[in-house]
Formats: sequence, C-alpha cells, structure tokens
Amino acid sequence: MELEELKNAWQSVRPEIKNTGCAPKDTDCLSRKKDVKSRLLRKFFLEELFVFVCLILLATSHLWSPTKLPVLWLLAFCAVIVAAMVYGIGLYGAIRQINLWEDSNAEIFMAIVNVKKRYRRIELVTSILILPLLIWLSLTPPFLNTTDMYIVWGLTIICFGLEYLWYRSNIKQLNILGNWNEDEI
Amino acid sequence: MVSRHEKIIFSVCFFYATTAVPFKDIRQEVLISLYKGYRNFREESSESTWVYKVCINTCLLSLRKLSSKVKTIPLEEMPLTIFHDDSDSEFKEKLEWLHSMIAQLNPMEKALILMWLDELSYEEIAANMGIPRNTVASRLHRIKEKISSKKEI
Repeated sequence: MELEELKNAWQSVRPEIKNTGCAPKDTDCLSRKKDVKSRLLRKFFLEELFVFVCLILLATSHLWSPTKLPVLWLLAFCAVIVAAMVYGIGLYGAIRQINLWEDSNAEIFMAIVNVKKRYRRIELVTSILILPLLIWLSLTPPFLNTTDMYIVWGLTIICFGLEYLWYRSNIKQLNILGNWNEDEI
Repeated sequence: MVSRHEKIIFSVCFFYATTAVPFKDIRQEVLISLYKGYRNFREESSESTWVYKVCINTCLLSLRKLSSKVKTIPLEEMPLTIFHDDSDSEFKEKLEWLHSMIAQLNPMEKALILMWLDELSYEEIAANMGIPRNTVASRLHRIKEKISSKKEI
C-alpha cells in the first residue's frame, strides 16, 4: 500500500473534523465543573462551621444550660465531634487540591474516588460512635424516661435523616466532578 | 489560537491516543501546554509550526507520564468514542482505519507521518523535528514499508 492512499484517506476526513472538543466548548465544561467544586467546598465549609458552633455550645453547656450533662459523656461526645471535624477539614483540603485545569482526567477521577471513600468512612464511623453515646446518655438516671430523652431521640432521628440527604447530595456533586463524559455534566 | 489550529491539535492527540492514554486526557494535557506556552511564543516560526511542536512534545511526555499510571488493554479493543453517535459512519470507519495504520508506528514516526499527512514540506518537517532533510525521506520510506507489511497481514 502506498503512503498516498493514507494521505488521501486523511485529506478526505480532515475537512469533516469538527466538534473535537479542542475549541472553547471544553472550557465551558471545566467552568461548570469549577462551579460544582466551589459549591461543594462552600457546603463542606458551612457544615464544619455548623459542627464547630454545636461543639462550642455543647462544651460550654454546663455554663448556660439548666440540664447538666455527665462530664464523662460530654468529653467522649466532644472527642468524637473534634475527630470528625479534623477528618472533615482533611476532606475539604483534598477537594480543594483537585486542579480541574491542570490535572488529567485520570488524576481527577482517582482523587474523587479517594475523597468519596474517605467521606463514606467518616460518616459511617461518626454514626457508629454517636449512637452508643446517645444510648448511654438516655440510660443515665436523670434522663431515663424523661421528655428530654424523647426529644433528644426524635431530634437524633431527624438529624440522621438530614445528614443522609446532605451526604447523598454531596456524593452526587462529587460524581459530577469526576465524570469523564462532558455530556452528562 | 486553539480554534485556529483545532484540526492540528485533534490530529496529533487522536493519533497518539491509546486505551492506556485516552484521547481526552492527552487533549487536556496539550491544551494546558498551549495555554501555558503561548506567552513564550516568540514568532520565530509560524504559529502552526509552533503548535505542532508543542502538541507532539506534550503527547510524547504524556505517553511517558500517563501510560505508567493506567492499566492497558489491547489496542484492537479501543472504541472510537470521541465523536457522538450521530457522526457519519463512513467518516468514523476511515478514522479508525487511519488510527489502526498509524498506531503501529513508534512515537517519532507518528510525529513525522502526521506532518507529512498535513502536507508540510520535507524542509518544514526536518526543521520541526530537528533532523536533516534526507533523514525525513529515509524515515518516510521505512514508514511506508511498515505500513505495507501491516496491510499484507
């Protein structure tokens, strides 16, 4: 086969090459991804801020609340929240480090898989640790069978539900960031 | 600049892409290199020549960088997913055929044949690749033999 045959084939397809994704269209896709990343970072920041405020209120509850929570329980609960916060800050940093403009698709994909794994772990471990602490609190004599106990349990169930919805929405946005197919963004 | 040389960028990325180093990844690396390098473009050569050089150098670097990270599957299994389904099937077939023909060449031969397919003169190819004009001719001859042997198989 002559090289000319190859050239003829190339010359016949060359004029038809269009929408290659090299033109500014791709920049739009990256900008859309950047918006998703900013939204995700904002959500993670707000979540951390909310948890921090709750932590301060809980840690100082002996100063302002008429209900005196057991000190040992308070320490254990605050320790779990602090650990979750530190892990959450690490997650925030990992998302922030993803460079949509310079990292290759494979690198972004691997980073997103890693973030999702860490995020799932933090949610699971925190839930597993908080549940026994709440059971312990509700079995402590001053709270046993009181209205406060039922309120706490009701709020806990609502919070777990909201946290799950929040988690699902964040995972959806992480999937958009890691998506290779621009048409699905 | 990218819009002006879209076809050069496409052809280089397309023919250097493999299953280990997907087209979209290689294109992203090339676009970043062009974006970063454009401020240093001193107009010593034509813009298209400069784009060719950047594209080919980036592809060679990306091949080295990305192929060590991603697991590979045989080239024959590579689907041509760059274009939407509504693209002309004859057009797709021709591109696939061209890709399969050029895929057997080594990276330097690919660079040479791409410029030759785009009708650059031997002098321009030699200047872009930093090799003598006669070497361009002898390498093209070798490429012709390689491609002919593939066709016979």
